[in-house]
Amino acid sequence: MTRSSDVIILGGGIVGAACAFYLAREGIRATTLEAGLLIAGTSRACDGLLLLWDKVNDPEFELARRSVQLWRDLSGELGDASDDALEFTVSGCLALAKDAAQREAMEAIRAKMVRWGIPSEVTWLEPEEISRLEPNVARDLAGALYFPNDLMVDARRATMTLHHRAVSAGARLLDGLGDLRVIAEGDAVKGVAGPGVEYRADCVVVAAGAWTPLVLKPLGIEVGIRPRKGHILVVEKGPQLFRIPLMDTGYVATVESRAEDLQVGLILEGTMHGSILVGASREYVGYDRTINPVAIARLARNMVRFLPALAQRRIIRTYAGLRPASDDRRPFIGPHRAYRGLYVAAGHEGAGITLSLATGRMIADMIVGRETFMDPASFDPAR
Amino acid sequence: MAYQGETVGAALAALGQRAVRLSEKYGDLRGLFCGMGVCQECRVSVDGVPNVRACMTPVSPGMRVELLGVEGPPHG
Amino acid sequence: MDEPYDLVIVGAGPAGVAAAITAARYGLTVGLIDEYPEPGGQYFRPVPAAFRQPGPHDDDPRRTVLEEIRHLDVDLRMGTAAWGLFPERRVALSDGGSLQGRAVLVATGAYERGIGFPGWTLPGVMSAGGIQLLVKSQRVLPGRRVLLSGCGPFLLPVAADLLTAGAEVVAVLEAVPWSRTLRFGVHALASADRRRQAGHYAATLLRHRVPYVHGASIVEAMGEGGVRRARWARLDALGYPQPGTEREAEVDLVGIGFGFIPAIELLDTADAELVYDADRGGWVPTLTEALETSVPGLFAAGETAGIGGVDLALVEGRIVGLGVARRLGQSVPEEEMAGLLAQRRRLLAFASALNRTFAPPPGLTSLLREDVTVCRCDESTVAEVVRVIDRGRHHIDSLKCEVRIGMGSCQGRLCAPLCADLIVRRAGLSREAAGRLHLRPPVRPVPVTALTNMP
Repeated sequence: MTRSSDVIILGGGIVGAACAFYLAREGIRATTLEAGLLIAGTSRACDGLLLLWDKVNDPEFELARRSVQLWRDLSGELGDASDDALEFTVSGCLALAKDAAQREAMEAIRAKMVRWGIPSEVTWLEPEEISRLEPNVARDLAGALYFPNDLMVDARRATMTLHHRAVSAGARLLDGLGDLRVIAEGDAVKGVAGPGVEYRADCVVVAAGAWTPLVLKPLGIEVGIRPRKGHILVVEKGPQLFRIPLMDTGYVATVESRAEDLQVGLILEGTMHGSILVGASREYVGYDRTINPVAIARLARNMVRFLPALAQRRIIRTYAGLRPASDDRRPFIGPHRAYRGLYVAAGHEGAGITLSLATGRMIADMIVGRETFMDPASFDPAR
Repeated sequence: MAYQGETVGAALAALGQRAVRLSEKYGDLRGLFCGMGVCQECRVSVDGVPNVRACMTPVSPGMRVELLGVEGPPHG
Repeated sequence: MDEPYDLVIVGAGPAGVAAAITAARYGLTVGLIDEYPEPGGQYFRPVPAAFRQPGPHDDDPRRTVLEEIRHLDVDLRMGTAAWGLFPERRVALSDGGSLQGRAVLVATGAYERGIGFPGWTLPGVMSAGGIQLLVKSQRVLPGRRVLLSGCGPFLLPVAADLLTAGAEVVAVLEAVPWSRTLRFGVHALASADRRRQAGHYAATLLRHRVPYVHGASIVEAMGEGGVRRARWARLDALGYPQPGTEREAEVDLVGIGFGFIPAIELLDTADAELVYDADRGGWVPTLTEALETSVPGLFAAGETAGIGGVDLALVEGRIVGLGVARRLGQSVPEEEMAGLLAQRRRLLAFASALNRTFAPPPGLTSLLREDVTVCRCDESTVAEVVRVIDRGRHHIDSLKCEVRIGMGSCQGRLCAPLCADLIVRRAGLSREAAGRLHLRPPVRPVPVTALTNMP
């Protein structure tokens, strides 16, 4: 059966949802198609911190800065409903340094914030000042950086909220469709097909996260995205051990690292429900999402190193997700010159939740022909 | 006053104490449900450690049991 | 790296113990893991030495297996919980260690299926099995005036145990109609053993004048701080409470028992193929005749393979022990295996008939009133779940993205069946289509030290 639409979005994760959301605001009722059952991909397997300080290059930072503002705007729009719809909080973030190397990283991060023009967003803490903020953190650290205005959402709720808002404005959302492919005729895209169904449109946005290369390959397009596996542990709720989400200053190095083997950084996030999300591991193992016992053991050891009281708790869940890691650490956002009507919006590595709104805004602006809020050249999908 | 090998859950039941914790969101009282360590409803605090299953934990001399989320009488 | 065992068994209930004994008798190296301090599982739940007294269940001839296993060379890892199954057939333990087997048997039993109804989270509302454990092996009465409500003959021994211990049983409510129990009773009572048992229960209930009411169910538990009153009603042919038939009583204990659910979580983490079979209690592994799952070297037996009772569990354990022995080169007499397989077929037929007869009627889902708690861990209500279903999320794994179910300490064991029922009702899907939660390790909450202590 063939159906037609102005714009089809291939991929129902947060980036696809954000595209649908902002297109709907432009009066364009996109059709979002998801191969699996919502939420099937990485957006169901991540934490929810929206950060600026961990961005690794200027274009990514610019995108993040706009995106974080859009998150604030969205929360403001939702008003009281934002608690339930996004689980939005201004949580702040405390990046801990456990040794000399991580203390050096503190310097690098602060210098970066100065260069980006946001020095007031970071406070330098000496070791003895940390326990005033967080008394249960280990007492033998080398220092910390405090970011008071960092934000946090629940990734799944946020994804579904964006979808719902788009659908309320007339967009369509279909999941459980099976493997999807782009239909091209000559040098133009004509739609998206799945088992037994076809959807026609002159404009297709491929927002398939780590699976984007698999979608684009049949079109003869190579894109520099590789799946980069991450694990999350969930610690059972109990008496509160910390208020501010905790990370380590070595985290940025793990993002930037080109190593194939297991990299572990710290993320400790208390959710609104009392549970604690623990990250963050990075490894290149293809599309395998099974739980790696070595990775979860290292995450557990690392979290206890920074917050010893966690040793008395229980772990109730683990999950793994695939970050769409871009070779040059910049996402791919914009029209692809190989086909008329083809757009790509993917490759955000571990910053998909943070960057989703600005990505959606940019895609919508591009599709309606408006000037984008920043030069999109850095994100050219055909670079 | 408890027997060797008795579980914390049984000891509390023997005392007529059906509630062992307060639910986190609505503050409802909860008690033992499955009795075999699966449902996780019977979580109490033992010697300061939270989320210990009362139905699976044998009592020991001097053990301090507190209802989770509530100040309860020490038990040993 | 340690030398792998020939057979690692998770779960020291009847099936696990039978498999261990059989394999050990053929000279296999066996590791047997269980969370309890002694083997026995839920069926042979041991009574602490300090208050052991002779009772009607202690002369159960099946108990000899517990004696037998003590005299065999089986590595007993008691007081340890298995929380994950990793390549290659490595079972992760809660102390940070692991056991690896050339073959692994998952015989982790089952847990009780609850139904949700207003007040079901009140202290004093327990699963029937939970009550039985407290009474039989902990020798404590968690209440004095009890209402039992559920499906199936398991309610009867629980009632008998309560009465023997001195509690007052206000009524035993069986949700299916009289005709079912009658029809099944005629079939079941072909066995002398079952006749004796049935007679014992009938006599006990009569002596204490306990009404055994068919076609009825609890509909609400009430009380401040704990259950003090219970309301029940007659059910129509589909299991819906009939208005005007409600009755109430003062109680301080309610036992609910609407069947059992196989504990297949470890199998699921290993990606063993599972199918939905209502006659076997829900999601069960597909098995070869040798009880091997779709994952080579991974076996299932006992309630994990499908609800079927202790005799089936013992037979299945022996089948696995023999099969693994044979696979590892031991000479196993063909008649022995053939005999066990024949016994299994017979017991399986009986078990399936039992489960079919006493399947909870669909109308019980109507007890899930809007304000009833579905997820006990995160306190999500029926209304919150239904809102998400009505928006088009028709698979239980999708529900998790919009409402908190299946993400707490019980890992969905309590709420998943209720959510599946709600999906069936609201979206008109089959139980199978509503799906199941796909568990990853840990299959139970584990101390952080289980991970930090890993080598």
